[in-house]
Amino acid sequence: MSATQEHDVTHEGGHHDTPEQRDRKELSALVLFIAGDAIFLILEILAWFYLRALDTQNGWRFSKATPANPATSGSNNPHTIVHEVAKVAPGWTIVIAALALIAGLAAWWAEGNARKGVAHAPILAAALVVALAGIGAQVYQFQILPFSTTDGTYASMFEFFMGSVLAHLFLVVVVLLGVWNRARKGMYNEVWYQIRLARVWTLWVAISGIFLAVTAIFFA
Amino acid sequence: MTTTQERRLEDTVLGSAAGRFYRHQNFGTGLLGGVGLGFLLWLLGEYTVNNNPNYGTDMVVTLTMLGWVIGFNLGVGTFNAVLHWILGHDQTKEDELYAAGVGQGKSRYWKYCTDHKVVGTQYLILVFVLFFIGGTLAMMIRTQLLTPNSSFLSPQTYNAIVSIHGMTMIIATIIMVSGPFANFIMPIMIGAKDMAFPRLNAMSIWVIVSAVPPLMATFFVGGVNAGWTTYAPLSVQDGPAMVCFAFTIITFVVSVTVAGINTLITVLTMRAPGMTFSRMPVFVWASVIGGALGLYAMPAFLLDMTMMVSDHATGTSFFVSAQGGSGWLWENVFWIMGHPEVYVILIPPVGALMEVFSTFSRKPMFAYKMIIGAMIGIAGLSIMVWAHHMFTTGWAPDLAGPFMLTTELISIPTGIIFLCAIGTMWRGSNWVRLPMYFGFLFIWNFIVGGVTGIYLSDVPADDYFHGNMFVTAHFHYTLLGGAMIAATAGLCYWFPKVTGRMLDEKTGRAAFWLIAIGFQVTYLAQFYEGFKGMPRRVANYDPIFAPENVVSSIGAYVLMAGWIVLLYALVSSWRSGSIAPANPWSAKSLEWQTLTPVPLENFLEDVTVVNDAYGYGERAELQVHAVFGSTSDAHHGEGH
Repeated sequence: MSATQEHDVTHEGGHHDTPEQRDRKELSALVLFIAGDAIFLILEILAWFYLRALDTQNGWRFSKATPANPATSGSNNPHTIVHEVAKVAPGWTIVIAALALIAGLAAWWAEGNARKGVAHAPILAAALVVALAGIGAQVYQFQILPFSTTDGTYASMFEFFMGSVLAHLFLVVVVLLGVWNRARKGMYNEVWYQIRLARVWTLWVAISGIFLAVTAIFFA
Repeated sequence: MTTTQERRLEDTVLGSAAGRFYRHQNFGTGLLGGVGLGFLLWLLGEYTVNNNPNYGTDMVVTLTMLGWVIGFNLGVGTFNAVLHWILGHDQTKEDELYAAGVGQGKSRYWKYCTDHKVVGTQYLILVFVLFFIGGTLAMMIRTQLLTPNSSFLSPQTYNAIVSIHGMTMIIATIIMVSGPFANFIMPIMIGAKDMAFPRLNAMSIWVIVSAVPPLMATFFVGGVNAGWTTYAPLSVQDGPAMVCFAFTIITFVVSVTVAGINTLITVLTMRAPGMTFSRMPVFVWASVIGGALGLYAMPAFLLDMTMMVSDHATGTSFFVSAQGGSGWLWENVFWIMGHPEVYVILIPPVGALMEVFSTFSRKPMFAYKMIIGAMIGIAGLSIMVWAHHMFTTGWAPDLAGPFMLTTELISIPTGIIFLCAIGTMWRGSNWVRLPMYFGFLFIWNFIVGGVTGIYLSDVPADDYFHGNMFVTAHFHYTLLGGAMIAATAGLCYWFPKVTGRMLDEKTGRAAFWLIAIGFQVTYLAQFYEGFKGMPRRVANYDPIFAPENVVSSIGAYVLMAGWIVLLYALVSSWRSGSIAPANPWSAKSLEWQTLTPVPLENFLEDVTVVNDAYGYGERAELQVHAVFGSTSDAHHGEGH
């Protein structure tokens, strides 16, 4: 049985759905999932601004300031958290969002190629590699941060944002891994809507990553 | 209806290889997987992060819980389909039929099964288990409160029991209708063959099953002392039990989100021909509105709980004032979830109850569009009222007025639903069976719960009542006396369709009277305690509150006895009740037009809906809800 035939007879998704019906259902479900994720994103950013505005006991940025640790040493010190972050952290934040964006655009390109019936698996492989690079960059960013989670709420929120991006990128990698492997086996030669789903999800992760990066960089 | 045996998929004989891994997986392998991976990650934590003096233990518990949840779901088969998909090995039709439970008899109820009716039944059993646990804890609370200085429980144990009673009941009530009936009944009601995503459906039940042990584990790691709302900073000061508690919620959110999306997509894309939005039964609308509201509310729950785990296990300070955090952040995010969640609980049971009222009054639904509009109105307003829970916290006093106004506005659409319910019964040929008994009880209870809610939405009154037993009585009147009683009406109504047996009406009525009387005694006494100023969540209290507490505890025992009698009626009827006909109530909606037990794909013939499901007493052509068969040989269904 060919992959396409197998796809058509599958019982999942409402019993004998056509690919068009499954496309509609799965895209709608993804849109709803993204809507829920967007609410999570908005609340994350609200939490950032709320804690920043409250600055309870001056704890937003500098709760562990010591002369021996200039990375976290007071708002008038040039070696503040913000200064260090300006050198290290936001740059990577943007890089990571950009990598997600590139992966999403690559998936879009692959989707176009699949529609035209030309090679798309290598492009999806590239998207996967870029997404994996995003995960690598995110892990690296965790390692080079000049503060730890215990250095006040700015540090807490910043690392929470990073954790959120990492979790999303993990899902991107899972999706792209599956889509690439199936593309490699020729399973999207006729029915390619799953590549579109991967593209939509990956681009959403890039957009949410950009929102988090902008918040972290411009509203420290 | 013509029986077309050759189309019954459940009679398919499957090959020995069908189902692949699913053949070897069940609840038992889930337990093995969960305990195994949980143990492995516990070991990993012990040897890597446990040396951190501040949060090492919490980090170990986090890893252990993570291992449990992932391991259990790996073991039970939740991730099989995803792994198959990644590997590019699509399941064959035989695999899918196996996953749908074909040829497995009753063992399919212990497995990852994609048939929505099996999933609905699994949810029903889980709800029973949760209510049993929550009810037992409630009895322990009331026993402790029988006397002012009781030593039945230590204060710490009492706090832990109060917290877990609350959260167990919240979880149970959220899923008590959206789990069993939105799964079992709703797809049939719209003429669908299954839910839109059967695998996600099966995933939703097993993920939520994996959420329960962490909640119970809290008792063994110090207990949660902060109540079900787990306000910071109390919850930050709690031990690793809070991590277990948060893991329960995080896992629960995954399940509810998946289930909500599934419900919405099922209704949007899988309705039978002719099932327009204006013909959809009220219960379907209620499921959709509840699901959509859950999608809005649950991310807030996820955020709060993830941050809480982070504060415990990684040393962040979201809720630690000394390090820049704020308890207000917790409260705001919690109630941004919390108040819509009340209506996630309430709207689906009310939808079920409206079906009961129409069927047993033999009258069309009164002001159908007003009911739907009111439900949407309640859902919309519910997202704008969260801070009425925070009037006394000092947060944003200038906003108290607006939040009081939005809260009181909710009484308008709620009142409309009441009027429509009464209008549906008014001058109907009321057939007072057990579901109607519970329907009447709902009307009384929810009026009391609703009116006392207006007191609490009023800022000056709330200053007095906040944090005392008046609040406890109020929300038990709405959630237990309102939502749960409505859900019980729904359970009695759909019991014959779900189990294929008639519910023992006589025993059910005995249970009803125990529940009805016990409930009033329990919670009217608590209102009185509140008027006198007794604080809630206290293990010991001033002797001046003793008489009301004795009355309340006696009422609670009667109430519990009522539930036990009802449980007995349900279990004994399920096992050996008289066989139910396909449509014992002569109802018109689609679930009653198909066979009992319901075939695998629900209908043996194609369904075309031609009118709404409430054409009781209408002229002949409006009484027919649906026709069956291909266009050329369509015939009218039963119940018209």
